[in-house]
Amino acid sequence: MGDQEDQELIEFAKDNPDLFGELYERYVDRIYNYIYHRVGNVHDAEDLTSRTFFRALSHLQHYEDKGVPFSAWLYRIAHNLVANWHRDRKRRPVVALDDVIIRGLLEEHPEAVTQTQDNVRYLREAIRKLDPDRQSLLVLKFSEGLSNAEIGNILGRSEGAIKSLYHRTLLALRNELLKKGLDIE
Amino acid sequence: MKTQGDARQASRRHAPLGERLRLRRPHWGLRPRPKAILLPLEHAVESALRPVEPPAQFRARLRNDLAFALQRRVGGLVVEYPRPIRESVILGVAAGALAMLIATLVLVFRSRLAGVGR
Repeated sequence: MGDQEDQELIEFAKDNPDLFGELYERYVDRIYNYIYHRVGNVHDAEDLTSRTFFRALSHLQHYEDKGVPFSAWLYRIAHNLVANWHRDRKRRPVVALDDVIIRGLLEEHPEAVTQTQDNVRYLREAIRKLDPDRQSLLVLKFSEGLSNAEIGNILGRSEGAIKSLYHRTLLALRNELLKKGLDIE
Repeated sequence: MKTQGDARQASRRHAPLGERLRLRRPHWGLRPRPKAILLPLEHAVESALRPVEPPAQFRARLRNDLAFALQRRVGGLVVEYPRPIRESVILGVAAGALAMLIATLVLVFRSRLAGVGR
């Protein structure tokens, strides 16, 4: 899905708001996925995904492609809303793990599920202790499969800065796990 | 006069690089390169952050809500996502009311005590 194609669709959507539905279909899964991994529960993920698209809808007229693709613009909205959510709540997520991941593993290796559940939980807890930008970086890289340049567009940093932050993030995560006596080999 | 420590240091200086590293880390062995250390962690993070999809019901509902908002906007109205009353506001108001109630009770109790004292 090219940025050029997005750009044309946005221009049409500004005059014909029905086309916004097309943009919604393109990006709702990715935005939801990003938010879900940042907040850790379905209820708030749904709420913040709704807010993201309503905000995008109300600001679409002001959107201009100044080197930042539409997807990055949407992620930025979601990123800011998640940041506000964390600031407002000042609490840990109620449910950190839905059964989505475990369901897949159960079919593959039922005997390993209990151990894997524990490991995934510890790892997610460690990720949630990282700075917000570091959490976003990991989610955007691993769950969304974005490049360093694309992540830089969203977080407002250069590609080199993202690369460096990524390395420091992994080291910090490893140290956090080692503190708990866990070493992933 | 050479001590035992001096002799150990001299033997280290002349030993090959690999052996020196092993001497420095007698129990751990050679340390892997940083990239190699982090590779398993990268795989673990990747599997912990597997992509998830929104529930189909939510997806359809949000699409309908957005379509409704668009229709309203075309009609000249601006529809925004309803902002629910925040829990903190409710808690704050409740805490304030409770504090006022306690203060009133204390004042009433003290004034009665003062009346009895006279």
